[in-house]
Amino acid sequence: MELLQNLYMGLGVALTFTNILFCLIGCLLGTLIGVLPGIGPAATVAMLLPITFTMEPTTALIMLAGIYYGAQYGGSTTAILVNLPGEASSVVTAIDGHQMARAGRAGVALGAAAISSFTAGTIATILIAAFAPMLSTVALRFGAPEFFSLMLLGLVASIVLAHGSLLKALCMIVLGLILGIVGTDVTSGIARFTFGANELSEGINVAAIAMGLFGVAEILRNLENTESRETVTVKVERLLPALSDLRRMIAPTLRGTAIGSVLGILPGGGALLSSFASYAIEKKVTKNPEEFGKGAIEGVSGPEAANNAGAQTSFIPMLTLGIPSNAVMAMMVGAMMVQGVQPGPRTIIEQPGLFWGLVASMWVGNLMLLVLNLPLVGMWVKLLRMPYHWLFPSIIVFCAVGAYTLNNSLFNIYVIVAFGFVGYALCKLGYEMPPLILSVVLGSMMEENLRRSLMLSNGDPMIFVERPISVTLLLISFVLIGLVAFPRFRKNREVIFEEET
Amino acid sequence: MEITFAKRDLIGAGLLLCVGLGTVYFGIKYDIGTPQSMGPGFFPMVLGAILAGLSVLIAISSLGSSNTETVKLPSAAPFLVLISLVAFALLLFSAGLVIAIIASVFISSLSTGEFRPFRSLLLGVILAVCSVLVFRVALGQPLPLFVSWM
Repeated sequence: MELLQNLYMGLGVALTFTNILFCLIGCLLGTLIGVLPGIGPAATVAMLLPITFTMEPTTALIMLAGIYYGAQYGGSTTAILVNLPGEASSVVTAIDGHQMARAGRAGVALGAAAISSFTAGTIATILIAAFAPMLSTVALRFGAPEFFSLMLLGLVASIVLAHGSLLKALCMIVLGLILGIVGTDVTSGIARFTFGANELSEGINVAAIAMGLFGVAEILRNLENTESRETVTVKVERLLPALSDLRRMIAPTLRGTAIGSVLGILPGGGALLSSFASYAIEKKVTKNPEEFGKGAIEGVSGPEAANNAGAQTSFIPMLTLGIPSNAVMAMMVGAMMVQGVQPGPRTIIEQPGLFWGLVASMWVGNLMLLVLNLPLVGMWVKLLRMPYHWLFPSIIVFCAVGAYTLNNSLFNIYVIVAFGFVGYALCKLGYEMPPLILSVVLGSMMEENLRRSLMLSNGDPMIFVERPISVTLLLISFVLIGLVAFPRFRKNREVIFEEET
Repeated sequence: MEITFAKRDLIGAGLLLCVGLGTVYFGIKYDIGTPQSMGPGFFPMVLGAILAGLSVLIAISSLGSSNTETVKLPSAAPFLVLISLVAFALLLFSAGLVIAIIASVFISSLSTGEFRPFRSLLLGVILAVCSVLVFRVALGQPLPLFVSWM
């Protein structure tokens, strides 16, 4: 079977010494930041972007991927043990997980989380291996109009599936597109919005924008929430769930994997949405509804499976179509572009080693996390006690030096200062970052495709509607916008996300 | 000090309106061309107009809103962090990486309520060593360690 052949080749790439090493580094780093509140995978990926530029693209992606799904593992650990979800996607795990811990079943909860996550990760890896090539074949028939419509759909979907005000998210998207315009126009050769600054002739460095918006701005926001964290240390005994527990875990894990796999692919989706949806569904289908909120194991294994599956499948649109489905993926696109690898339908053909190596490394990483994390639990909890005033200057320094190394220019340090301020201000004013970074990454590509499409059709805008794939994508966009306009859907949206805060 | 959501939405919308209008202004300056053959200014103009329109909508909805939730105005802390970054940039070439890092850590530590000079100095030295190891030794990036200013 071709699937197995490809995975075998991928394992060959993933199991080189360098790649195993960086996979391990990524997973450990990911777990660490998952454990620590106040810093998440988006900020970490942003900060490490300058370093990845000196690495091989495959190795860089393997490490960054490890950070993303590793953070899901880390977040659940603290969610269960200390009721402090280190990641937003672990919020639901904390609900029942911590109750289990209080009842003396911390080890079982941790074990359940790890086993469900690993199962989901394995299944997700196979799903990616099965579906990605098919998707790429379809995408190979994409021309400029299809790409434009797809990117439009990606942006629209990310708003619809995001929480918060629709209008504000739309503003962020438009703002991001505008920011993407800065630089030399490819078609006409003139410099736009550079205001004479030579450093801007290639556009604002995406990595610098990411570091400012997610690294610096996060810190600025966290400085205002200086709550002291009381650590309730719970004893961790047996780490393996009993047979009866395992039996109860099977269905939620499988359901969670399915939910996560589907929602992860959708733009705006990923780990966060998947875990919430899974919790809601588990609560609805369980035979013991009274247990939910008091320590139901289904409330741990379902969401944990979902968030891991969601994290992994969110790579699919990025790797097959070049469309990032969330902020972390957007930054990975940025990392790839600077390495000279243009993510898109051709990636799987032109760079099979990169693609399959990355897919295989996800499974390897999951295995590492399963084996390493359970014994290391004690260490992670101790690290929770690290005071924020040691952590945040470190992040600042790291961002500062990293920004300089992007282009050996001080200019980028000022860029992260500017975007740190912008990110902080926008958050204060009630706007969200993920749509912004998504559209910055997609912006220049969208304009190029738009202009190329119109040149192909000699100025006739109907080209977007005449081509079947393009018009389908546009219709889906409109349907999504229409859905959000409907008050009933809007209410459901708000209800789901209310539980998050 | 706090301001209501409604007021902050108005302020936010106003700022974005300026950005939108500014974009339209510059878009028009860079030849717009026609929809059939778009000039470099076409996309900016359209985007700027959309942003301006959206911000007006937000402004209008904020005026009618009776939402009484509030949000706090920023203190000095965030600005100190930003200043520490600027300090780093200014000092990197005039005083070298080590001094720049230590200065930056000092300034950003001021932003927390509890500033302890010795601890900041220690952290600064540790970070300087780590940065040298990671960026100069491991990654081979050219960074001036110390710059004598004599």
